[in-house]
Amino acid sequence: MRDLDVYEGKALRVIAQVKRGDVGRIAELTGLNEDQVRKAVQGLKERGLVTLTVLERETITLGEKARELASKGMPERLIVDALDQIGGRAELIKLKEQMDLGESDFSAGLGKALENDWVKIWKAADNKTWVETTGKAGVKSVEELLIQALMEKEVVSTDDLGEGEEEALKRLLRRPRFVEVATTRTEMVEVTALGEKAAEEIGVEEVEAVTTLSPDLIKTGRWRYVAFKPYDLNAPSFPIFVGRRHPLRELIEEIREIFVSMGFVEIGGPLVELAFWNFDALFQPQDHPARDMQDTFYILDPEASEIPDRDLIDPVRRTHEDGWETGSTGWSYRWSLEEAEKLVLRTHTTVDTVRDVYEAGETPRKSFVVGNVFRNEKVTFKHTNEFFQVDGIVIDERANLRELMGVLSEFFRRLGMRKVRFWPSYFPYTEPSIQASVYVEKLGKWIELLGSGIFRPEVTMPLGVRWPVLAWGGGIERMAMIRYDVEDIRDLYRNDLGWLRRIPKRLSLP
Amino acid sequence: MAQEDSETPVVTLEAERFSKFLGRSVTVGEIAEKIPWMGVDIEDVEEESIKIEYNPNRPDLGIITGLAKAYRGITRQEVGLIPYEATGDGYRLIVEESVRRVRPYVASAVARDIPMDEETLIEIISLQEDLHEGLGRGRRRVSIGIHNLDVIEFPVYYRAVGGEEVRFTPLEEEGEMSPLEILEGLEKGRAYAHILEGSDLYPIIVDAGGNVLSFPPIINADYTRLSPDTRNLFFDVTATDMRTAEKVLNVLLTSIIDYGGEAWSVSVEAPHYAKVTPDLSSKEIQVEVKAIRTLMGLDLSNDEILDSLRACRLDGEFIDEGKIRVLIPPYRVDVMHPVDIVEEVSIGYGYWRIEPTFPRTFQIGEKDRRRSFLSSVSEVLMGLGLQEVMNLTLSSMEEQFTKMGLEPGDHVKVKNPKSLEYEVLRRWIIPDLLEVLRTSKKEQYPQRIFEIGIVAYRRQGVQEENHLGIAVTHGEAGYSDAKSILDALLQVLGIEARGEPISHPSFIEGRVGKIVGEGRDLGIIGEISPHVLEGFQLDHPVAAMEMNLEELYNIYLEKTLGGAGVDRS
Repeated sequence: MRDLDVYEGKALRVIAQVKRGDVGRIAELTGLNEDQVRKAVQGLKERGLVTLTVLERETITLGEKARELASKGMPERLIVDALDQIGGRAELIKLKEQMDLGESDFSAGLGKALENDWVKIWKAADNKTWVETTGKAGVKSVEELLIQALMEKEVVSTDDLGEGEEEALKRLLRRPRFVEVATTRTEMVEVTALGEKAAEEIGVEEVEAVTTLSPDLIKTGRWRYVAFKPYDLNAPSFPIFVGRRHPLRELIEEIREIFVSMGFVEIGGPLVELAFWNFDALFQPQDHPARDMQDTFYILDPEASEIPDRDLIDPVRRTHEDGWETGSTGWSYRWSLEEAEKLVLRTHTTVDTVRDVYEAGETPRKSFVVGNVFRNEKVTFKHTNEFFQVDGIVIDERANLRELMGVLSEFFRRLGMRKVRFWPSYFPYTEPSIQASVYVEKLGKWIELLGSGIFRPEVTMPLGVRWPVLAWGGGIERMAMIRYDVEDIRDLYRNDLGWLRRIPKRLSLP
Repeated sequence: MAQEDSETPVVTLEAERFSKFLGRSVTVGEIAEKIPWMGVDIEDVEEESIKIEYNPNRPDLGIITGLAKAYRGITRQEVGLIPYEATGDGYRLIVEESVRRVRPYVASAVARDIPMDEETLIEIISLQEDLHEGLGRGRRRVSIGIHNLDVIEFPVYYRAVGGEEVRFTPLEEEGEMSPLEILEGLEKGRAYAHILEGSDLYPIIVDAGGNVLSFPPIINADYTRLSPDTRNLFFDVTATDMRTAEKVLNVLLTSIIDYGGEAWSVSVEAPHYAKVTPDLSSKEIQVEVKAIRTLMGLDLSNDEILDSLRACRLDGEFIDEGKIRVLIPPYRVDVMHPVDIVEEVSIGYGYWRIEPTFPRTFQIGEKDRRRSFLSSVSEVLMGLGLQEVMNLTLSSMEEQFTKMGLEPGDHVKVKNPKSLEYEVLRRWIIPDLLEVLRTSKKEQYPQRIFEIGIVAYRRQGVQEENHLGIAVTHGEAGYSDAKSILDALLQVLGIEARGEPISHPSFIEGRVGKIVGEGRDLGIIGEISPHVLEGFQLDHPVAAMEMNLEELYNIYLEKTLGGAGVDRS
């Protein structure tokens, strides 16, 4: 036996594998074209390795006209339906006018309806032609049934037609463009026992090794006959950069969630503030070192602005000078309006909470603010001249020191910090004052994170509030540094893309 | 909150010396554990000593005697108020009319038989300096002279003289100088000259023998210099107000006689006032007991309240109508209001014993709508694979304008920056993004970044707006990189906008547009000019965009709420 040629070999391997298939499929699977396959099959057949059977079949598909009508129905059906709607009887001319069928469809439909004995026609004495239903149109005609079947299956072989359907086909074929009959030819190839043995003998072809599974390989099915080169599973991957939040922002967003979930309302305020609100309203005396140009940024232009809350000026002035009605001694100095009208970059977000006290008045309220604040400091590994703070307040007639500690404890717990310690502290605007520290396991030490207290009456009374107001605040960078193991605060603002892209995400686990 | 004063005063305590003042032996460990109970912070712990920071409202804790007194109280070693007293012995200080316009007030005292030694002297001087800085407000408000009493001839005079009218040898100097020479020639003089600015008279304190004792608030005379053997002291405390002068004197004097010795009073006689100082009597304040309990949230018994106050070295007695009369020693200069007593009770009771409880105040939590919008914009950009960056709002004129090829205009500058890198509130975000790209040049490309932050400018006062900046850079970055992001963002928000060609020095001509939506100017988009890229030392093309998120937010609200609830604040 002469050796199989390349095409024969390819074809035989495929045929042996699929056992049976038409030329088209073998062509797909081998990647040869159909003529090449036919030639090869001829050679294989001569050697008794495969058999070839040619099948011819007639198939019926819906014609153009039937598709067009499909959504509405056959014309004869439309005529009967139309008649039924107008009482079963009509003058022929009127019916024709009324129905939106073309001339030819109407005539054909009427003919069919008569043939099916669905309607009858007669001429009346006045010479008008009338049409009337017979009441027998309730059953679908054989044509209708066949068209329905074709719509469902698309292709039907003539071999599969039932008795009634053959009759229907004949009838439909008489009507132009309703159905089409075509002959298809299938060349089925089947492997013989000899062929299987031969396939085994020639063995597996040295298969093509591929790197990429291309769309072409998938579409043609050739993937079955190729080998995929193995990869080094740990080879470096092409980098994909996740769009991520800045770590500091991630913490800020989390802090916002925490306070909202604790029932706090978020507030805000501008960066450029009146010294009046930033300091005076917080009972910080005008010669307090924190108000010095060395510590606070003052705006160059405009340098000052009028205090819109005119009615507050006098109570605040008096409170500073002699305590006003607050029961305090005050700071005993001459308060200057000019100093209070200066514009500063806010040095703490407490400016926003204290204004909120004024705006809310004696109403039970819990609010918080997150924002950037400014201190005219030299930038070092420990301090930046701009940083984020969170501040919060609780206004309530019943508010007390224990509740202040409660808010702070719960806040820390939600940030995943369970060991909290409270120590006495000092702020000019709170009394009692508390500093809250947390124990950071990985650093093995206590870190002070929040300052807090109950606003002094010298702060709240000029604002019209005699109720206790719990207040706290602190820098967010320090919390971020603990969380992200940052030792130099400036690194948070260095925006090194490598760091931002690769720093592992940290979640709070309360 | 949590405004840390940049110069919080510090005291170093040696455990051994502290034990001597306590009258019992304590370890560094015990001090470190308990001293924060009184409200002082630990700055550093070493083997034999501990460095503590005290708050400026408690200058009495700025010296070992004061710390020991408070520590004995808080540890219940010895509680209650210590009485102080100053007796008269004919010391007089005559204040002349001439000081009225310069530095009108003076308080004075004498301390005798102080067991002085070198360490004690150092501690006293250190407290004096802290008082100058704190209550004295850098000597502007109060300054203190401490003198060797034994060389002084009474009465002493406080008067103001012309700049060349007297000459004396300043402390640690050789040779006599006039006040003017001191102000110009000595380091201390130059440092504090501003306090006397605008006056042609200079305050001096001089004794009956014509010896100048001091030139407040600048320097003492060498004549009354203290030494480790000086056991008798004379104090002058000059000030712009009498109350603060007396506070300072009380803190200093009580701290010194705590070492041992006795206080004596001085009769201060001025044309505008006459007073015997110091007044070392205890002050009284009446506090409602109920207020203490309510504010603390603890139902303390009267005994517990009294015990707590005594642990803070105060005292008190319960009087009618549910009140307690609290006695405050003369060195406690921080008590202004009954709430200060509530804090004393809390400290004496012990913060660590108070159990936290969550507030009863009920309210539904709510985020700020505008910020939530900003967050949503971030989320879209992150979804597009952009990395968020964060820069400071403070920037330099150089980066904001010069490097961008712009003339400065409506920017907001600060008056007194410590560095020119932080002299202006940023006017726009793109320059910061270019700076980020510069620092990340070695990082892999493509680089796609964004930032949402506040920018400020002048228009009828200062206006602040949230802006979005984006920048994209890679080998072939161009306008379409930015445009794709803009289109995607607008599509998600359901807002339509388009670019209208403009000219802008920071961008390439013909590749820059104003973003216009709903007839409003929303921002700018384009390719950064190579001129600007060079200035930032960038070697890849950059496409950038900046949008006014306030306008975008307003349009978004109008679209989604039909204009209802649009806030234009």
